[in-house]
Amino acid sequence: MAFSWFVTRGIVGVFLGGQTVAEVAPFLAAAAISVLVRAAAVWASDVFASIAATRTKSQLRAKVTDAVATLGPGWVERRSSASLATTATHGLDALDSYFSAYLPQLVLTAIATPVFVIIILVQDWVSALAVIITMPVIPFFMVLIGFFTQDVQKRQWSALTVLSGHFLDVIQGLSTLKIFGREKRQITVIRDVTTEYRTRTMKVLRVSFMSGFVLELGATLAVAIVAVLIGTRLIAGELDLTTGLFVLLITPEAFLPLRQVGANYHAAAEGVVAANDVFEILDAAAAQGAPARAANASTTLSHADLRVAGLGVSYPEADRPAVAGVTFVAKAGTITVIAGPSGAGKSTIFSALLGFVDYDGQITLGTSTREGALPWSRSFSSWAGQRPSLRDGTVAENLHLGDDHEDPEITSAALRLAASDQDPSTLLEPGGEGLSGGQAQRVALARAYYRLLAHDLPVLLLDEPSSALDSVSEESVVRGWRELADAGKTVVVISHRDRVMSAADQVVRIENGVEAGRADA
Amino acid sequence: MQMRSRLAALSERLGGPVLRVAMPEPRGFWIGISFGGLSALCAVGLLATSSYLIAAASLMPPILFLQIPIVGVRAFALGRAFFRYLERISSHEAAFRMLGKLRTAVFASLVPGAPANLIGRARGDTVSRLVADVDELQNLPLRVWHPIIVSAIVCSLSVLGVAFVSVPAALVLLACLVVAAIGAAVLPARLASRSAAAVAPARGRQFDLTTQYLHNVDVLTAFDALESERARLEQADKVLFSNSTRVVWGDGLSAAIIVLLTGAAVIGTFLVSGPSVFAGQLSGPLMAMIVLVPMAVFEVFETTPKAVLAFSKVRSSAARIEELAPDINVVADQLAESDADALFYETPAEADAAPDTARPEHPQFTSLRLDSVSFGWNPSAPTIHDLSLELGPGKRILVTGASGSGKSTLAWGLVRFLPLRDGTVEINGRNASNWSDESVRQLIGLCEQQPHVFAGTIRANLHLADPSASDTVMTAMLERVGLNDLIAHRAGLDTIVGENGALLSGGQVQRLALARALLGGFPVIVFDEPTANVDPELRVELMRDLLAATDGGPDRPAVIMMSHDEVPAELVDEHIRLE
Repeated sequence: MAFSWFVTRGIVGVFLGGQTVAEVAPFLAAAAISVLVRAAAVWASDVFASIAATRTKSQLRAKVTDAVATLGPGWVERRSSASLATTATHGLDALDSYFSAYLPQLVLTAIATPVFVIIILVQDWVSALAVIITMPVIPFFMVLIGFFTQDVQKRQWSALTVLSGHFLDVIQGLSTLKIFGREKRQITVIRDVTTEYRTRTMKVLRVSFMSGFVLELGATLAVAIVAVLIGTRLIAGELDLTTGLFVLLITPEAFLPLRQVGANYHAAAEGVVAANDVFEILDAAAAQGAPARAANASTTLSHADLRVAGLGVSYPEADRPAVAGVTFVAKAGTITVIAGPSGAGKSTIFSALLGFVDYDGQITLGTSTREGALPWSRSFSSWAGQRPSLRDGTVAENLHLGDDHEDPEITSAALRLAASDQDPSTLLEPGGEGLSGGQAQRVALARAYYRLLAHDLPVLLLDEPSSALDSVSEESVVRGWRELADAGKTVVVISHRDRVMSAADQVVRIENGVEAGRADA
Repeated sequence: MQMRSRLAALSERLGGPVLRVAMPEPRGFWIGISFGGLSALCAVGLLATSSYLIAAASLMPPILFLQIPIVGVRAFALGRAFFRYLERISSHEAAFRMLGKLRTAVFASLVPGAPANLIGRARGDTVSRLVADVDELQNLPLRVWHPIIVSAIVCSLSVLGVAFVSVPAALVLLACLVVAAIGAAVLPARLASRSAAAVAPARGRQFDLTTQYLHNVDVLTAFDALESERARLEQADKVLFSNSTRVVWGDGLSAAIIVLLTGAAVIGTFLVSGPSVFAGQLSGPLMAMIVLVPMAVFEVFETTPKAVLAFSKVRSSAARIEELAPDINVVADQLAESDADALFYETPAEADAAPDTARPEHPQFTSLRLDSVSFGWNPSAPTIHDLSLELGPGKRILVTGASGSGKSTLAWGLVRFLPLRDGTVEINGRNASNWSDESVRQLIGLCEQQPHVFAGTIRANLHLADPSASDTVMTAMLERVGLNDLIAHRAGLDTIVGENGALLSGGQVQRLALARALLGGFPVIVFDEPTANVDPELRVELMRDLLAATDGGPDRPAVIMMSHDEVPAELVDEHIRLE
């Protein structure tokens, strides 16, 4: 604005006042300084807005990971972890344009627009009047267009998401198409579908471009009206050139922030959706309060019986308890197998033992008993779940998870017991990519053995540990359990496989959350 | 046409053959450019005429002399918004047309090597990333060439226009634009592209670790490793933060340089034109005009640095597509020259004979013999080595082996998804080496380990195998594979299966895939671990059902069953163990 003012004074000076360039030099110098200041301000505002956006995202992401830790595995289990991951990664990226573009723009509009209008008003009230009258027309038209097109837009968008999924679908199914000799026909289909996609997208875009058109037209016409008003009044001598030129230069600036807000509106809508997802998680964590902390893996007992008495777990959303009144004793030096159909509540027993979910009943290790104390048994047991859940890094690093230092002897012992021939230095991708299902399962088993051996814990809990194994590997894995049991460990295995059950010293059957039978070998 | 092919050739030189395909048809593209140019020229014209108008008006001439500038102001104001609307419509239309062709070309060039080209290269998200990359390429015309060309046209016309009034002023404007082009478009792009190259992997790692953390919360909790894992996350976040901050500094720099040079241009033109006004060689209103025009010109020019940044994104997408579809431009040319049929069918008659709605024909099957064959990804170390087997009509062979012993490799080799490395395959007593892949697949069908069901209805999925099948036939087939529940409790054949069969269980997907294979009428069906993704306790039942369903009397299909589970001996004729 200062730049506009000084340039105006310069022009006016030269051409009305008959001054030389040297005489208007102070104005030019001032204009140059204001340019420098503006450049610096633009740069600073860009940089700081982006840095603030990145920092906010980092903080939110850290809060989400904290919140998930607080809510615990029991909470994660009951929702799609894929959509959770999307919220914490790509979802937060939608906040980028919200924080770096929309929000600063909104603040700028709120501050700059009135300032511009007041300056115009001070300079020339007629032009100000023209601006004040034309300006509200823009939001008014936007709301009007939005009102009439919202429904159309919504329907079109949902059709669009279906269509854009089609290309992904056919590429994923390319091998299937080839098996049925349909891949060539599909080329024509893709052509037809993309044509339809284009027609539909264009329908949507026509509407959004139309609102852009109205915005732009409104702003441009307002400038034109102001210009013509100034021009005619200059002729009549009602206005001096300095004021006229200056007002003309800053009028578009007065409209600019408003136009930008309109342009960034879509980004804002996406950002709000993402933010809502995040705050839902944070609120849930806040409602739950501080997590019950587990004691680190430590117990003075290296061999002890595990007694479970009257164990019950109820989920708030279910109408009947997931498990009720489960009672058994797993003796040190034996293998106990928990069997039953899927959905019977077998894994829930482990979730309770690990403190992932709230439970009723007593858990006794050796002679000490706790009632409903959440993660107590986590401190004396080692566990392998149904999913391998491996991480990036070497196989060895996966094995000594939770321990800072690796003991290579325990690593090789654990791998041997898990019948895994993986080299401890094999590097895995994030999520444990790079291993087949069976290999990953054995590494996950070895990880449980490592913790058991490194801390000399008394109890080993294994959930469907051989589901992805062929019969030969399964045989070796079962031999490993016997070896651990013979060393005095209490081994509890969830499985329904014949080979596993025939190795058991005791089989506890669970059906519909309650015990349905027991067999001792 | 000439212009477009030159642009396409330039794109190809800058970013590989994929970018040649990613340029839209010249007609639509240049219509968009024309409207864009007109709109931008209107913007410049608007500021020029209005500043002239006001400056001239202050001299208080008769109103008549100002009629032309007044009309000009109005016309330019309307024109700017109107042409901008037309520009956006026409350029998007052209870009979407291109996208349609590009998708078709990508698909067509993936077909011959599929599915081997899509698996085993990178991680599981190869396919979804490919799709996103293809979408990204619409930015080549929209966000790269379009702004660059429009701003080049407008800048040069404006310089010419100013030159009519004052040559020195035009030179100043030109100089400022050149400096801006170097300073704002090239320099930060160089800086940013170096840091941006570091941002992408940092972001990827950060995303991977976050996703991994969220998936592994149970294990991390049980192993007391939440703290250490969060520390790793924070570390990854720091790396990403410092890299992206560097990119931001570069980006901000280009915006600042443009503001700086806009000012320089205005002051510069002022300095060179001021003396001529004083000397009476230049009228005051014209000077006001040429001094203020640079402001509008730079507003148009502003889009160029963003276009350069957009290009680096487009280029990396193109590179990933090229990796998977290296011959895409050859395929695209073939597609452009003729229709899709000519690409795959030798003669029009053959194309007509590949009907869309008739049941596929299968040749008579008498025998399949593998004689010490080798299959594998790696020619020097094939996974399947020196394997022999013989299969007659209606026979069942069970192939077992530990995971990693090559069961899937054998399955893919049998249907020619992987090439034969060594040995001979005989079909019906004749060497099949010169059979086409298609004719082998007419005889041998495959139920994959993770069968793909297409989003849509069960009917649509079954029609894939036999477009002529009636509802009665299809319903009977669903009953035969044990999907009675689906028929009774859900919408029957109209049941929606969801994306990737998300609305069905693993077992239902396998049964549906079997129904599809049976309906296809293959004389030989290969099953690749059909029970791998099914709840453990349902596996034996599923295996029994699958084998029972293929037992359709005397012309039942021959079956090769790959499995790591034991199968009751009475259900199979022969058992081969892979080591």
